[in-house]
Amino acid sequence: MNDVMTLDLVRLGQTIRSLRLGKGWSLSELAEKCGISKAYISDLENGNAGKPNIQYVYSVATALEVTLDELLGESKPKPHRAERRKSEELPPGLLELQQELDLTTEDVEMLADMNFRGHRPRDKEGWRFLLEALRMVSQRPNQK
Amino acid sequence: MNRNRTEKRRDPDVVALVEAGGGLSDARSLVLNQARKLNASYRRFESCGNTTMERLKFIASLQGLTLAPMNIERSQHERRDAVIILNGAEKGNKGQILYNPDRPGGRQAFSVAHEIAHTFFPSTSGGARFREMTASDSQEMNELERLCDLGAAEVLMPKEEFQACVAGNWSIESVEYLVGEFGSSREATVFRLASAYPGVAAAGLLCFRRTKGDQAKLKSLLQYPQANLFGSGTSSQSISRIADPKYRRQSFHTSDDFPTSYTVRWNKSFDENSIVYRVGPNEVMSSIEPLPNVMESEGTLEVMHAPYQREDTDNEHPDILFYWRAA
Repeated sequence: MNDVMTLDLVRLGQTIRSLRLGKGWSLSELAEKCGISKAYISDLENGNAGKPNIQYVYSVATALEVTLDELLGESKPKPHRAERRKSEELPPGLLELQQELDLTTEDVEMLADMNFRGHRPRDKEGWRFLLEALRMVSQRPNQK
Repeated sequence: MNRNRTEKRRDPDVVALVEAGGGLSDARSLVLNQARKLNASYRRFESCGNTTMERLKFIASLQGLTLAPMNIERSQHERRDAVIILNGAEKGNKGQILYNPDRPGGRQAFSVAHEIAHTFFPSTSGGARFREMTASDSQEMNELERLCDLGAAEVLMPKEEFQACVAGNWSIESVEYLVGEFGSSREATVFRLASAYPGVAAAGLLCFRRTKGDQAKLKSLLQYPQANLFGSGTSSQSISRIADPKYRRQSFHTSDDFPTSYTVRWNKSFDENSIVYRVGPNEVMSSIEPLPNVMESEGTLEVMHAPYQREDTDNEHPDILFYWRAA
């Protein structure tokens, strides 16, 4: 049993910065929202907070609307939508399907994150098939 | 063949856990490993001065869960101590644990830890589960719930820290101090005295009742006395064949070294000369006694009234907590 786990402070700092910028907040704005000094948040973002206090890190996570699990990067935090639009184009065909079916941004985000056996659809019809399959599954009554 | 039958009875969440572990480890070890990992993850942070509920809030968040009290108006009529509502995500925000703030602190804490332990099971990804602290007298808790209690005990009272705090004083007399240190319920702390004991020990809850079979027979006789006219004996003869209520085993928790052959099976009664029939309220009684089915092996038996009594408990025979360790 590996009881000595290390905290990746650099990754933690990068995640905090990424989520803060995704919300369009300055350091001061995040500091105000979570009730922690701007200097401490800056230290966190730069990986200089030593052994960080869990209460403070939790306050930052809460302000950024994520769990500690997501903040630590031990799960994959979803990039903020604004950031996704800036930094990452939607996969081919998905934008066309969104326009055709007037899909919500949440639906598009959900589809964009999906893989099927390690592959993603490459065109509009592939995305349509995946969406219809998902809808069928979600409408199916629970089976034991 | 027997193996298949056993597997069929297993909770699907437990089967999924064992399969996810490669099928080489038992469910108990896998749950304990997950709980220890979570505690190790928490210890990466500076965390001085946190209350038990604060610690659980952070641990829940490390597990991708948020923690919140139930709506006050609802909780007054709420029988459940805690409920977990999962949203199906495997990572990230997995869901929320709602706890009943009207319950005593230790009970809230153990219930929340129990719900966290549900997320150790890979197939627990949707729906809601709930927990009631008071033991049901209708049937033994299922394997999944017992494993979640095991995980909750490890999250709340990590074995090594618990053993260090006990400092050799393995007795129910230590419970108040340990409750203050770990913030768990008295009941769960008594059980932890057994599961963390570095030797042969057991603890559990005893209820004063008949066996389930006799309860059903008696109910039938009282409801349909005329049916007995056509039977082989009279009502009084039939009733005389029904054993009197006794203190019978309800829940059972053991140390790692406890031999399986010592297990006190569900329904098994304690001898009527045992101190379990004599202990009064607000006291702990102790004597040298064997467990009911291990007459050749004596040990120290300690008993007290259970802090939480079921609504239908007999006033003269309240539920009892026992703690036994081999001499």
